[in-house]
Parts: sequence; C-alpha cells; structure tokens
Amino acid sequence: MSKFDDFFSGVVDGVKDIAKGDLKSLLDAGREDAEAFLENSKTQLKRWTEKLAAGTLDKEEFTDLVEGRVELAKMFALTQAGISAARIQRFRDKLIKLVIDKAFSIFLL
Amino acid sequence: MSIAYRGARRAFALLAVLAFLSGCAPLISEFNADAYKNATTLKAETLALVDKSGEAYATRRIEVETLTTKIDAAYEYAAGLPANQITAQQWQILRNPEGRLYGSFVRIWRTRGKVGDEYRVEKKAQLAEAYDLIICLEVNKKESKSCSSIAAAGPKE
Repeated sequence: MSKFDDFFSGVVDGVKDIAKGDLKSLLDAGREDAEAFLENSKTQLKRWTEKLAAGTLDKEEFTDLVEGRVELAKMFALTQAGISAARIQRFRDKLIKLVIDKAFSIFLL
Repeated sequence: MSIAYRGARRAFALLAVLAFLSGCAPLISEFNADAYKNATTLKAETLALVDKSGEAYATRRIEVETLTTKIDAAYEYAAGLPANQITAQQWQILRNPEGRLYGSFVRIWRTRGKVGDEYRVEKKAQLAEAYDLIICLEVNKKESKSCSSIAAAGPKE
C-alpha cells in the first residue's frame, strides 16, 4: 500500500468518525428541540383556551398569544437553521484540519 | 486503469474538495460575546418591564421607550455583523412594532392603559421563549447544545 493510499484511507476513516459525532448529534438535538417546541405549543394552547373559556383572557389577548406563538415558530425555525449552519461549519473546519494533519503525519514523518 | 493514475485522480479530487471548502465564505457568524450579552440583558429587562404592565402605561412610558430603543440597537448590532442574517431576522421578528411579540405587548399596554393579569403572565413566558431562541442560536455558534438545556439554565421567567 502506498503512502497516499494510507493517507486517503486515514482521511476517509476520520471523516466517518467526525460525521458520526457531529452530524448525528445535529439530527438528534434538532429532533429533541422540535418535539419540545411542539409539546409546549400544545400545552400552552390548551391553557389559553381554558382561560378564554373562563373569561380571564379576552378575545384580543387570546388572539395575540396564538399569533405570537406563530411568530415564535418562525424564530424556532431560524434557530434550527442557524444551529445546522454552525454545526456544518464546524464539520467543514474539522475536515480541513483532518486532511492537513493526516498529510503532515504521513508524508512528513 | 493504472494504480498511479487512480492515485493521481484521488489526490486531485481531494485537493479540489479542500480548495472548495477552504474557499467558502462562513455559513454563519462566529459566537459574539456582545451579542450574547445583549440578548441575556434585554431578556431580563423586558421581563421586568412586563411585570410592571399592570400599572398605567403613562407612568411607565419612558421606560418602555428606553427599552424599545435598546432592542432596536440590539437588532442594528446583529444586522451589522457579517454572516449574521439569521440572528438579525430573529431580532426583527421579536421587535417588529406590527408583530405579535414585543410589538403587540407594547401596543396592547399603550391602547388599553393596563395589561390584564393572565395576559401578563402568558406574554411574559412567550417573550422569555423568544429571547431564549436568540440566546440558544448564539451559544450554538460556539458549541453544540440543545435549546432546552440552555433555557433551563438561564434566568427564569
């Protein structure tokens, strides 16, 4: 096996490890946060309708809270998009570092 | 296909990928300590103001205007950072005077004079959640953390 083959397979193995850690945790955390957001939405909507029925919230207040929740959903989607971008950026940086480190360790030593 | 040719092709592909990756613009801005401080401080100030909204708007008008200016400044700061459009959009949704978060809270307080007890409690929780989303994104620019754990560790509603 040539030095380049060692280098190439080292990079491929390293990429697999990085992807397993970073990209899998991205999916897991995103799902966990989305589930928590939906569960909160359900709980809040139930509480608001009860308060509307009891007369402790009026129509304008109830409408404002519901529409506010929709705005929060947009903010939540932006947060998830930003978190994905940050993780992909970290993945990219690690990948570049991996290739450079592997090249140095195999070709220069 | 010779071994040498295959090796050269792999090397070329690897170099092409590296050149592409290292030449790409950042996908999102770096963590910014001032942006983080803006969000956490304004969260505390906003929630404290909501607590006072059972009082007449007229007596708190100056405090409301001062806080609104600070929130606008936080938006301008976020919008001025490179590759920070996502965070700037979040601030825009939160501060929008025609929107349904901070904007509608101030509108309802101003037009009604006072805010009802139950609405105050619910709106306070809603605004806290909005700030938590901005804070969560800022923290995740530095390290991966779930939003639920960050919100649980932050100032309480």
